[in-house]
Amino acid sequence: MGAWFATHFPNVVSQGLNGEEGWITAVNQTIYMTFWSAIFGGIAGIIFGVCLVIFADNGIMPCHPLFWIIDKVVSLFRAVPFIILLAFIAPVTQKIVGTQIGTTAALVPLSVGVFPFYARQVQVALESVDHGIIESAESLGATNWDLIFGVYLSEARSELIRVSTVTLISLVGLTAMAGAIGAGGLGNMAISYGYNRFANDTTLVATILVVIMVLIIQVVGDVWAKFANHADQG
Amino acid sequence: MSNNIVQFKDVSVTFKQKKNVIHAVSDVTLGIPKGEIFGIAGYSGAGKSTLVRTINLLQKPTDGEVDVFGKTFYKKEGDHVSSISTKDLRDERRQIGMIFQHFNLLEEQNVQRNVEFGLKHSGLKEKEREAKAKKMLDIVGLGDYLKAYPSQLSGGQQQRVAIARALANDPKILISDEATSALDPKNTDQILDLLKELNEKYGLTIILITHEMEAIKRICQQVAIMSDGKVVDVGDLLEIFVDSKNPTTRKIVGNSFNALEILKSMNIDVNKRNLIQLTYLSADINDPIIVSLYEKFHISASIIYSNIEKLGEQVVGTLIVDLLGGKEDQEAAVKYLEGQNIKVTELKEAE
Ligand SMILES: Nc1ncnc2c1ncn2[C@@H]1O[C@H](COP(=O)(O)OP(=O)(O)O)[C@@H](O)[C@H]1O
Ligand SMILES: [Mg+2]
Repeated sequence: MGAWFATHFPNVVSQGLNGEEGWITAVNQTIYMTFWSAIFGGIAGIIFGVCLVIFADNGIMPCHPLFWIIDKVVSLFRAVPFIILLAFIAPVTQKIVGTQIGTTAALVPLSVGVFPFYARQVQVALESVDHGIIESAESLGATNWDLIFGVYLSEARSELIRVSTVTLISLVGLTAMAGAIGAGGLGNMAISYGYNRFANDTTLVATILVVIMVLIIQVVGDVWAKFANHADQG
Repeated sequence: MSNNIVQFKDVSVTFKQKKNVIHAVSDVTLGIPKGEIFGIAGYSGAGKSTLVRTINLLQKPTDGEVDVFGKTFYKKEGDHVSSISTKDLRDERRQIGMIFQHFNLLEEQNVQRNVEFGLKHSGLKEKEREAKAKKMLDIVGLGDYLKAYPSQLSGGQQQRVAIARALANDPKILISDEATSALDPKNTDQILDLLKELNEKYGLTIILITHEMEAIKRICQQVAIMSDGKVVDVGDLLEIFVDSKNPTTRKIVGNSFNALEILKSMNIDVNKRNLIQLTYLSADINDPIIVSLYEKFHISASIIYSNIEKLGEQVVGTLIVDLLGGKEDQEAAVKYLEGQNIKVTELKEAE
């Protein structure tokens, strides 16, 4: 098996496992980028998504100017293709992280790239909460805080898990793109060491690893969403 | 001063849409007496929900004044608006329970947590909130379902949870907005009877919004009829169901007490015959009246129509008879009937 693999996947083997260009390093970098940009982009996305729902005209704290601004900011950032955002945001990254390249530097464009996408998903998830439930909670004397945490976020939880899964998966895709500007990870592996060096075996294995990551996220997300959902059990 | 727990004064609510303006509620002045079950009936779209939503200010009036518990919740005079503070409003809302057609429970919380939701700001400790929730669920007969989720319960059970939740803060008013409209007849009756029991046991004022007159007949003491945003008729059950001449009321409450309409449907020309309608409360009747008419006045009364209907606690009888006999005897007979607490109406149609 080992010998067969070494014959057919020579470049994969020569990358090594733990070195700067090794496979474990690449996987770790992808996980690192996905995880931290999911945290930063996720928090921003939830805040913006919640604001889009509560400040809307039919929301619990209608405020047209705030809604307008947040809505436009989200749309604007969503409109910028990620590959352009990478270049566009480089000076900001330089200010925050001190460098424009590397895994940590990639967290800035990744977070900025994912938050508007996630904000829209959160908005849709929260809007799926029946207005009657909001109203009955209001009739019980609920505060806005109660409504946001006790009703919106709580009632939409399984929908939120679903959209988070979708977002996380697209984030894995974005980390691969960030790899192209030297952020490391499996994307970098597939392009810099695979494609650019005509090492098709390396590209193939990097792709398979990305697909496995995506599948794991999908399965865990689906199971969790189902587990969290009490609304549709008969 | 006034015995009304809720007082609407010239309340109007309009919705402005792109093109047109909807007058959902127009100039409603109405008092709801403390401790009663007060019905508000009318066709769908009449403005019932919009009106009652102004009580706890889920809907702000466009104009007018709403007083609850003797306090002015909202008042608009010209351009000047005075409204209770947001914080006070939240406290007051806990004194005004509300239940809805679609139950509106938290789907992702179990039954106990649903009831506890409204107790968050009650000042009770966690253990006390739990105990209160259990007590409320016992009252509505769901003590065994604490850990169940709403989707596992029937509609009637879900509405019971909603009632337990609405009453957890011991409110003085319960607003029921079409709460039985999504339920089958058996569950409807059970929920209505539960509301009645709560009214009697705890002196809870209940405002029952419905388009089903059967519900009103079953438990209400008074009823207001709404149409096109206006309250067109108010009265106790007898006044509304039996006596009211208001055309909207007549259309809504049906004609089981309205002789002229009944006869019309039977193709009987009232002006060609000597028909009278007798309306009475069964409890008041001791004499065998038809027999007495013959024995005392030699009047034979042939029965064209008869009906018995329950209005709240009272049983109302309606009888249409053709009186055959001498003119003087007839007059004496009518006097006798009136002496028996029977309302006598001559049935003649204006030509
Ligand atoms: N939020 C709203 N925006 C616009 N129109 C509304 C709104 N709420 C109610 N209406 C309109 O007001 C009228 C009265 O509605 P509603 O109070 O729900 O009547 P009911 O409860 O008697 O069926 C209807 O014509 C309805 O379409
Ligand atoms: Mg309604």
